[in-house]
Amino acid sequence: MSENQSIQAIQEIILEGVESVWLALNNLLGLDHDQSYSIIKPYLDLALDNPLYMASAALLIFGFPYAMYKIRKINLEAEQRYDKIINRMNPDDSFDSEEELKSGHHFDDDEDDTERPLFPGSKTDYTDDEDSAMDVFNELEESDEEDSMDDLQHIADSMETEDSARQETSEASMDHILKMTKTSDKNTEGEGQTNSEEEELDPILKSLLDASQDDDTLSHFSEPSSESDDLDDLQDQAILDLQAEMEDSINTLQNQINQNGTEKNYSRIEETDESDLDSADATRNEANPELESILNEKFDWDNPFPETDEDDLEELDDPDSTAQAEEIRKLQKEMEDSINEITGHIAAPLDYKSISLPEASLDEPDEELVASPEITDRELEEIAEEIYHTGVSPKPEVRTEKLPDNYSLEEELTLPEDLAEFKQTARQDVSAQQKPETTVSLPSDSNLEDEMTLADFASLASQEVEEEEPEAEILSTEPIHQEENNIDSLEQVFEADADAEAEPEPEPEPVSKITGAVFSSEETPQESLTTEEPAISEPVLKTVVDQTVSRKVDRLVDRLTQFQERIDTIKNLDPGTQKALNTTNFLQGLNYQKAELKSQNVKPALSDKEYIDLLESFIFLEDQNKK
Amino acid sequence: MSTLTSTAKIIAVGGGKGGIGKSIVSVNLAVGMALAGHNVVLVDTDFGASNLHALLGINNPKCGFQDFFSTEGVSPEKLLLNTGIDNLKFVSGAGDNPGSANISQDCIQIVIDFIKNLQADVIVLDMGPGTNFNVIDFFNMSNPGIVLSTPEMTSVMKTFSFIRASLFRSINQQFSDNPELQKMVDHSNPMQADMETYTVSLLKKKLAEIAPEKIADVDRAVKNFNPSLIINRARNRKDIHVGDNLIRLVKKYLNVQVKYLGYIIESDRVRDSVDEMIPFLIKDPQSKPSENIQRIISSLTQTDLHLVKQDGNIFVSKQVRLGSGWNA
Repeated sequence: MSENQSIQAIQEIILEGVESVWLALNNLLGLDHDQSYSIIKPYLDLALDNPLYMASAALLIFGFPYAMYKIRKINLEAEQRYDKIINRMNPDDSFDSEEELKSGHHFDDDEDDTERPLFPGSKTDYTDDEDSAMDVFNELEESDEEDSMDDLQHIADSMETEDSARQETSEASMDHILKMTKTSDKNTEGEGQTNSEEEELDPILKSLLDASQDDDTLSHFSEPSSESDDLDDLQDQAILDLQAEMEDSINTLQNQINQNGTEKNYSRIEETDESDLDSADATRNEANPELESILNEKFDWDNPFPETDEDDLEELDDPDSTAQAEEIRKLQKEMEDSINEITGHIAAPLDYKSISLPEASLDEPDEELVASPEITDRELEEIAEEIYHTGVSPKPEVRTEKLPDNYSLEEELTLPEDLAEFKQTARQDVSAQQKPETTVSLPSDSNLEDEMTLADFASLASQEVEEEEPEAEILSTEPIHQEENNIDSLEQVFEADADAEAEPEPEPEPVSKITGAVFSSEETPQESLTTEEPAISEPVLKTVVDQTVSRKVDRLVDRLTQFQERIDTIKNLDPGTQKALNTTNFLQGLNYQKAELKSQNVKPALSDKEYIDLLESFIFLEDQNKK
Repeated sequence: MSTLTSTAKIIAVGGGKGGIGKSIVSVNLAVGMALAGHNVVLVDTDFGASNLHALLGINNPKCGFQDFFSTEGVSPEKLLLNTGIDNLKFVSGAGDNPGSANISQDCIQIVIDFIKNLQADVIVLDMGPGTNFNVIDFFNMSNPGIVLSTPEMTSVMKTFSFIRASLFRSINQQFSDNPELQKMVDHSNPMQADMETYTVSLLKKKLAEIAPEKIADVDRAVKNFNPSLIINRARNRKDIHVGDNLIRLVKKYLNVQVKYLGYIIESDRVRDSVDEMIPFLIKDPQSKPSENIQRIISSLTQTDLHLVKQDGNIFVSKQVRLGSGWNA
C-alpha cells in the first residue's frame, strides 16, 4: 500500500509538473490553455495510469533524440577516420604527372626490382594494394566491423582475378590480332571476365565501406588502389600502354575492315569493345573469306602489335559504301604490294611511301625510277655514273623524312636512350620475324632466290641488326662523335673540292638527300643488304612489321638509317676523292701552306720557382742569365 | 728644377706595358680618395694617348697640357677641370689639342713644375706606357709610386723592367756629377750603357771597384725607392700570386722591397663602367672591383674606407687608422 501511495504521489507530482509546464507554455504562446489542456489531459491520465504507456512515452521523448545524437556522432567519427586514412593513402598513390610515372622513383624506393614481375598485373603488384587495403581494414577493424576482413580479402582475391584476367585478356587479344583468326575466345573471355570482375569490385568495395563510411569516399578509396595497380612497374606500364594503344588501333582497323564488308555504322570504329571485335571478326570472315585467308596466310606473326597508321585509317574511313568491295580489294592489294615491296627492297630498296604506287611500278622498279617525275636529269646522270663506276645498279633515293637545314648530327648522336630503344625494338622485331612461314615471291630481277620465306627476311634482318648493334653502340661514344664531325667537315670540304676540281668526281648529293649506300663492286648482295635494314622494314611498316613498333622507333630507325647511309656515302666515295679529302694535298691544292710548328706541346702549370726562372729567362739576356 | 711647394701626396700609376688598366685604376683611385674627403687632382700624363677625360665622362676638355705647352697666357688654374665629383679636379693631357707623346724635356719639366705646385691633398698621375724618361721621371717624383701589372707573363716582365728602369733612373740622377758612372745605370741608350750592371748587386760590385764611395748613394736611392704593386684583372689565386713572384724577383735582383697594395679582379663591371664613362667606384661601389679599389685606397691612406650606394646616393664611411699620417 505504501508503495502505491508513493507511486500515486509521484504521479501527482509529475502531473502537476506537466501541468505547470503546459500552463507556462500556454502563457508564453498565448493559447487558451484550459481547453487545450483539457484535450490532452485524458491522454496524460491514461499514460500515467498505465506504466507501460508512461515508459514508452518517456522512451519516445528521451530515447529518440539520444538515438539520433548517437548515430550522428558515430557517423562523424567514421568520417573523420576515413578522411585520415585517405589522407594517408593519397600521397603514396597519386601521380601528378606523367614524368613521375616515367621516373619510377615512386616504386624504386621500397620495392626490389628482382621481385617485381614483368607485368604489373601479377600477384606481386597487388601486394601493395593489399597492404593499403589492410591499412584501411585495420582502421575499420577498430570500429568492430569484422565483416570488413572478409570483404577485403574478397577484394584482394578479386584483384588477383582481375589481374590474371587482364593478362589473359592481353595475351588473348594479342593472339587474336596477330593470327587474325575468326574468333578470339580468350580475348573475349578475358575481357568479359575483366568487365565482370570490375563490376563486382565496386559493389564489394561499397559494401565494405558503406558499413562505416559515406559513399562519396568510396571512389577516393578505390581510385588510388586501382591506379597503383596499373602504375606499379613503369617500364611494364609503358609496354602495356603501348599494347593498349596498339590494341585500340587494331580494333579500329578491324572494325573498319568489318565495316567495309557489312555496311556497319562507321561510328563504331572508334569503339574498342571486345564484343565489337568479335562481331567484326565474324562479319569479316563471312563477308570476306578471301581477305581472311590472305591475312591468315601472310600475317601469322608472333608479335605484330600495330600502331595504327592514321593515313590508313583515313583511307578506310572514307564512307563510300558503294565501293566497299573495291576497298576490300584495295586493301588486299595493298597488303600484297607491301609483301612484294619487301622483296623489291631486297634487290633495290624502294620508297616505302611508294606502297601506293601502281603495281606496274613495283614490278619494274627501274622503269618506275626512270619514269618518276621526282628524279631529275642530274640524278639520272649520277646514277649512270655510279653504274659506270661500280658496275652495280644504284638504288633510287629513299625519300624519307627530309632533314631540316639546321639539322645536326650531334643531336642524333646525343640520343642514347633512343638508340637503346631502337636496339631493343630491333631485337623485338627480329624475334617477331622468326616465326613466319609464308612464302613470298620475288621479282624476276631479284638477285636473291626466286622464292624467299619471311623467315629468310627475319634472318636477314637479324643479321642486319647484329651488324648494326656495334655501330649503334659506337654511335653513343665519343670517337664516333668525332668521326661524325670529321664527316661533316669532310662533306664541306668535299663540296668545295667538287667545285674546284677540273675533273669532277661523281658529285655527291647533299648527304641529307642521299639515303642509300652506294654499292661497291666488291660487295656481295648479302653485304649490300646489310646496309638496307630499315629500307626492308619500312615497307613492312605499312602493313605488318610497322604494327610492331611505335612511330617514335620508326623515326629513330629512319634517322639512324640516314646517318648510317651518310657514313656509307662518305666511305663509298671513290678512292681518289677519299684520298684527296684525307690528305693535306687537298688543302695545299687550295693554296693553303702548311705552318711549321716545332713546339705544339701544352705547357704544364709552373711552380713558383719555375715561373721565376722562366721570367728571368725572359727579362735578362742569355749571358746575363749565365752570370 | 722648381722646388716643391705642394704638400700633396703624388701617386703615380705606371707600368711597363700598355693596356693594363692604368687609366681606369687612376681614375677610380682619385674618385675614391675624393669621396673619402681628400682634395684630389687627377693628372693625365699620357700625352700621346690621352683618354682619361673619356673615363670621367668629360667630352671635350676645354684645356689641357698641350694648350699649356703651345699657347702662352694659359694659367695653370685653367687646366683644372671640374669633374662633377666633389673634391676632384682633372687635368687633361690633350685638351682640344691632339697632343703628342714626343714632348720635349722642357715640356716635361713644365708639367713637373705644375704638378709640384698644385694645391691639393692628393695628386694622382696617370702615366703612359713604356720606360722612357718622360714616363719614368713622373713616376720617380711620386711617393708612393704604384706599378700596375696584369697576371700575364708579358706584363710581369715589363713591370719588372719598369721598376728597374725607374730605380736606375733614380740612381742615375744621384750620379749626375759623374757621367761615367751614369753610363753604368743609364739603360735608356744600350749603345752607351754598361749592360753588365743590370742588377743592383752587379752595380754595387762594379762601383766597389770604380767608386766605392758611391755605393752609399746607391743604397740610399734603393732605400728611397718604394714602389707599390697592384695586380689588375686577376681571375684566380694563381693570378694574385703572380704579384708575390714579381715582388720576390724585384727583391732578388734590385734589392727593392715592393709593397703589394692589392689586386683588382677581372669583371665585366669595369668594362661597363668604361662604356658608360662612369667610374665603377661610383657606378657600383659595392661591386667586387670597387671593393678591391677601396681596399687599395685604405692601404694607401691608412684608413678604412667603405662606400655604400643607396637610392642613387653614395654614403662614405671612413675611419682613420692611428698613426696613418693622412689628414682625414
